[in-house]
Amino acid sequence: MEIDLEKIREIYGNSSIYEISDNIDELKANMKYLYNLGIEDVLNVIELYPYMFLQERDIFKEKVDELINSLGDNYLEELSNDFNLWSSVDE
Amino acid sequence: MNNSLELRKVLKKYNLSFSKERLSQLDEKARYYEVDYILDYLINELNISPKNIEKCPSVLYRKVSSVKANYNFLSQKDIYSYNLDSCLHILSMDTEDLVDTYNYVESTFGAECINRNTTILRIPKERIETIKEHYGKYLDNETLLGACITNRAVSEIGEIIGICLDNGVKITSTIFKQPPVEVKKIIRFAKEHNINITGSLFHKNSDTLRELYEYALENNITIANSMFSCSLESFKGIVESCRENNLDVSGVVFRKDPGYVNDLLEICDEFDLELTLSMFRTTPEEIRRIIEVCNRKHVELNNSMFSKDSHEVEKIIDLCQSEGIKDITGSFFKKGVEELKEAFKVCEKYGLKKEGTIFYRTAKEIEDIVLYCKDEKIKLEITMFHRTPDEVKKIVDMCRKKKIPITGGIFQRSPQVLDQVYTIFKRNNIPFTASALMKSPEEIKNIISICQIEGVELSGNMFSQPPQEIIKIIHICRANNIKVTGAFFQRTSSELQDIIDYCKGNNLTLTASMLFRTKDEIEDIMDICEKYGEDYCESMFKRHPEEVEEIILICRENNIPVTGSTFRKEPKEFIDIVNKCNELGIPPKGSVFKRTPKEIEDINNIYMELLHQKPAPNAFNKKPNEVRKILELCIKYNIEITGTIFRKKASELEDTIIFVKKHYGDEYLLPLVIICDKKHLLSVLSYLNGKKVLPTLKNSCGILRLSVVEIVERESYLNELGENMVTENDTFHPVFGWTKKQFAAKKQELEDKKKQESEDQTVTAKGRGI
Repeated sequence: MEIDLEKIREIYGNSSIYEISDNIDELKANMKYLYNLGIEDVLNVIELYPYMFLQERDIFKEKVDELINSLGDNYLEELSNDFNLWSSVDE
Repeated sequence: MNNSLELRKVLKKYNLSFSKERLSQLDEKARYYEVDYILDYLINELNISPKNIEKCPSVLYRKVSSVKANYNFLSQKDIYSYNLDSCLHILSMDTEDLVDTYNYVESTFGAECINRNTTILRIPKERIETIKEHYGKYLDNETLLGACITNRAVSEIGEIIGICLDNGVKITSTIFKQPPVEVKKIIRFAKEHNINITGSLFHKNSDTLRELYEYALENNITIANSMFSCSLESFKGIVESCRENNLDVSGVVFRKDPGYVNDLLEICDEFDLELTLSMFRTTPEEIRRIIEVCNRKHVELNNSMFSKDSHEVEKIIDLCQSEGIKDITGSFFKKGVEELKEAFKVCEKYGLKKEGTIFYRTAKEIEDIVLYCKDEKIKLEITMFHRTPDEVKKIVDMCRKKKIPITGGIFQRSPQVLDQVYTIFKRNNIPFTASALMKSPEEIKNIISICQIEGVELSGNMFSQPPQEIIKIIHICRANNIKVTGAFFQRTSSELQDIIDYCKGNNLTLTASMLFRTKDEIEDIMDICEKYGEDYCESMFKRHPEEVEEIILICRENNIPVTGSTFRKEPKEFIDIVNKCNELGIPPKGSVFKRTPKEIEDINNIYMELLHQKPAPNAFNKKPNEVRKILELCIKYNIEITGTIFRKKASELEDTIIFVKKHYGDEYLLPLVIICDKKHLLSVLSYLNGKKVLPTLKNSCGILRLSVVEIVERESYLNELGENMVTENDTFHPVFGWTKKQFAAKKQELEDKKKQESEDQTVTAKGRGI
């Protein structure tokens, strides 16, 4: 995993790194879910929305599914063009 | 009804825990309803300690009627030294077989033999008969019964007798502890090294014998046969204890009258004890009396008892039991009974739990330490009671002066040693870690030197390993291209290699959390995941395999998804949390498992009090007092309460809120703003303000996810495109929401375009002859 933790620490402070390590299972499971949906740039999404990935799996899945449904079949292209769309999945 | 599930409930009810293998055997051989009756009988009626039942699970395979019949039979017989606690195997026998054996041994060898060898009662009569028939003429009664009790086949017993006769070795029962091939090796070794061949040589196998012999030679200890009855670890422990107490190892321990040592060894043999230095402080007779007291009172024997006579031991046990103390450990025997009474009074006065190292100190010392901590507003640590009050004060003063955090670990050593160790760290310019105090100053210097030579950062976990192991672990990590971090020193080098090999063989990525467990445990956990069709997760490795399985079963029973959070607590705590959540109508999932049931209740009450609603799931990320502070801050400053707020400490949030409010106003107290680091906000908000685009933040905060450097870079890109930072909709340009990768690609695209345009212009100019 090559997430830029230093960047996350710079933006959100030291406590963010602790939160990530304390919720590593959720992070990994949620990452896996996005990869399975065909989203390639997952690591960069984490750097922008780290806390989003620390949510419980079922909550994360529900929000992601809702977002994808709203974007339709073209969701991959939509998401790669506008990362602000991920804010609806954030906590 | 699922026998396996019900059985686990019954075992939990009586606080029993078994390894996976034993649980599997219990599933097969025991019925849960019989187990319930048996445990009720053994624990509640006969006062057997659960720990002893854990050592002898076969008693649970029986029917309770059979167990009771066996007990009743034995009660009628004149066995005065019978130790029910350590002979549960006898109760697990078939009643007919027990009666047969008893009658046969009594009539053939006498009732006294049974008293000296109660374990003989678990041996089938046929075995004893056969051995007597074949070898009775070579062995006295004691030795014959001793041979019967071992695991040796009848033919092996014959072989061993033959070896002894050929070599002129006196046949004692301990010889039958070893198989014939080992007996030969031991006799050969003894002859090669001129060691007198006695029963003591046969307690351990020939390899251990050799290790003990070599260790004794290396440490200039005169060889005495009694040393060969110890394990290598026990022997090293005795040598170290002697050295710490300035005692001559040979003189005190191994040059005692051989009869004395032999008596001790006999006792150790009979009661399955390890020979320790403390036994040499008393007499064999006193030890027997103490053992009898422990049996009668159903208390586990402890080495510290040997510093007292049996009457004192009994009084201390009576005192502890009258105070409702179930786990009577060695620390209760450090002082006399009157001192202990006084210490108990102090514990009651200050609400201290009557357990552990508190009783290393007198009543006055305990009180002095407690009052000192109160006056100095320091958290009372149980480890403080390793030290006198004066030493505690010196250590605290030292910590304050040298800015060392005052934690439990600091009190492991005296102030002088702490000072020495701290100085070693300071001289080597390394941050001090209290875990170093597990080692002596010399060992610490050695470990630091190893780290310097190997070019590895020192970590606290290294101090749980001997220096050679540290080197091996570093080399194993390097050989496997693994970055050396502190986590790897939790395991020995061979354990680590096993784990690495296992991960490689099973295509698994080695993670730090796996290092909480041995390779076998990791494998068991993986098997459990496969059995229940669950994906493994890192948090599972915080728990033992049996706990993982139990938690999965509880999740299934309660319809809870199995996720990483479910493994934060032990099964008992887990179920308490589930019950509390059900009671309060809170979904039992997610961060709720970070809290205790009381904390969950408190958080629920805080939410109801302040917001008249159930807690948000993320609220359980923090303890109740933090939740209260965070909510009060949000209410006070009118900030929307989102999930992410609970990822920060209340003090951090407050700091940031005050800063933003003071410099930029209330309108910028938005959740996405205040969760950012204050230092970051200082630079970004100032930059945006300078660019006169700060108000746009109220409509789109995403730009805060970028550092100032990144913002400047993207701004420069927009300038090249001739576009503004802020769009017509008064939001920040989408470029500020692109990932690094996306931005790099777009920037490259622009550069390529410009390069192409420039090349086109050059061609056109050439064409025109310019």
